[in-house]
Amino acid sequence: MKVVKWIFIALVTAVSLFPFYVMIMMSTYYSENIFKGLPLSPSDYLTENLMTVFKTDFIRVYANSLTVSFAAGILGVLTSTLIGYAVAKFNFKLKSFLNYFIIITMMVPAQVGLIGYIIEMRHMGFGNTLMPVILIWSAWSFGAFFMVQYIRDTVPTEILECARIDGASEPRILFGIAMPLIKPGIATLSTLVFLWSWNNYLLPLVTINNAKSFTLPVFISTLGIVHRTDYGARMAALAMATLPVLIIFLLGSRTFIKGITAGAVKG
Amino acid sequence: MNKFFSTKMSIAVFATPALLLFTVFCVYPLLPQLWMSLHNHNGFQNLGFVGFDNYWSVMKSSSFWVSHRNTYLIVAISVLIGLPLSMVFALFIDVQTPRLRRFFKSAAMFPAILSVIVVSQIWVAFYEPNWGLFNTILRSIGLDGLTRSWLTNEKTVMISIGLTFLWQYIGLNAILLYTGIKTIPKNYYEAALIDGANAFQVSTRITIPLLQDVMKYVLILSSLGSMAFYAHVRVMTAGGPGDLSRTVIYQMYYTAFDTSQFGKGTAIAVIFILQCLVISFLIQRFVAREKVEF
Repeated sequence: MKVVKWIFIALVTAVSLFPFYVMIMMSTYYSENIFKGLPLSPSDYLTENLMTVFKTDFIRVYANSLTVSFAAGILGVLTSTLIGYAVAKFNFKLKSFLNYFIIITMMVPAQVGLIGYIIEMRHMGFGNTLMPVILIWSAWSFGAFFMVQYIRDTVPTEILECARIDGASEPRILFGIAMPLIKPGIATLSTLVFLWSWNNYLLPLVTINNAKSFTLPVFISTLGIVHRTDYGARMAALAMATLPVLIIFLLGSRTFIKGITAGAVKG
Repeated sequence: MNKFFSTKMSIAVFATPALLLFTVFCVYPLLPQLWMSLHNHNGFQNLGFVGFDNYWSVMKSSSFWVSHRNTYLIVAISVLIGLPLSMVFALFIDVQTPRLRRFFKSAAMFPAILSVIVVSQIWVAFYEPNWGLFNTILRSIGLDGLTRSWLTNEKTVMISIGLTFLWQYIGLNAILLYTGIKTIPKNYYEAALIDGANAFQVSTRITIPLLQDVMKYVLILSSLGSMAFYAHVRVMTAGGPGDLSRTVIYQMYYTAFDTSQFGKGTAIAVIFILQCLVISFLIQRFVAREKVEF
């Protein structure tokens, strides 16, 4: 029985980590040598591949991606938290309308509205800047949905009422009392926006034509196209692009995993 | 009175920014799409009103139906194969020691945090016909007859891309389900065990029925996620061979951007939005409607 268990553990590890391992190995190869067989042990071309990557605009692109993910994170979390708090903890006429509005916008994948969104961005003069890729997260229906559920389940209404009777102002109640209680939810949500905006491929691909504003996924998929497809360099770039995601994941996976189902589970 | 006013004011202050931004960036873009779908439009200028012609002509093209078949195949794969596997994995995580549990949770999350570009590039290498992982394995166990060029063979291309997609998200769904399992009170299990139930009975009679809320959530997330399936196809096959691995979103972008037929592209978008709304309505209406209580 014990053997079966360990075999299973080994299998899960291999299946989930193997592709990542292969990526790291590939980044140490000279591009043309990758295709002689699946690279399972490191070669000696890593430095050259890194040089190739850094000779391009990689650093600027990296900075672009960081800008996008941080801006998207702040915007997305802020608007989601505010509307989530309003819908979850107040009674007002438009409350159920707002709730349905959030759910319906969540049901239609953002991808199908992108043609209209791109045209709107062009009209606003944001074509070829990073704005389209950032602004989309300010209207993040999943985030709003998540926050409504999370705040409804974790912030007791009585505490807010007590504070109100004691004469605390509404912003104070939100930032002084509710915020500390929903910190784990905010952490989960920030991780999600960061991951998703960092890895987002379609939106930057169709909105950004200007190489100056490329983000990592788009940049890497065009890397080396000029003279030859340099897979070694591309894999090195991919490995480096995965780094922040990996760090965030290792630091926050516990809170993240705990918070992620808050929207679905009513404890 | 003054306090009442300030509460009202704060609701407005909290809710308005999001409401405004949602309207501007989520809802408003759909209007020009609707308008465009009724016009002959090349993305920069309107070449005249054509009524429903765009709709008829996209529905007549075979690519439209191929792309629908592919999208729904991906939905079917992720719901009918992916979710049961995630469920088994979640139940499995639940019976491990805390240390192993932590390990399995991290291993399960890992693929989901990688970029689609990373995942697709690596899987393209796995599917490579001459030295790729799958054909190498098949050859080494003597099944040379089964080797093929996975991503250019019209029979295997969609299944191969679907497998990559499954690999990436099975673990994430398992974790969502597992977090749900954890909220089921332990004394239900103890009672069942005292009554002599085995692990299988406990799973099918207690865990799964009590997990309906989470299952619905996972079902919605993964079916809508598969409806939006696009990036894997773009990187792995660029829709090929021919148009055989295009999904609806792919077909929509291809029509609009690569052939400059924005009228037709937006017509596809409008048709697809209706489908998404119908599907989410069906899930809301028919799945896990009644709460199970003991």
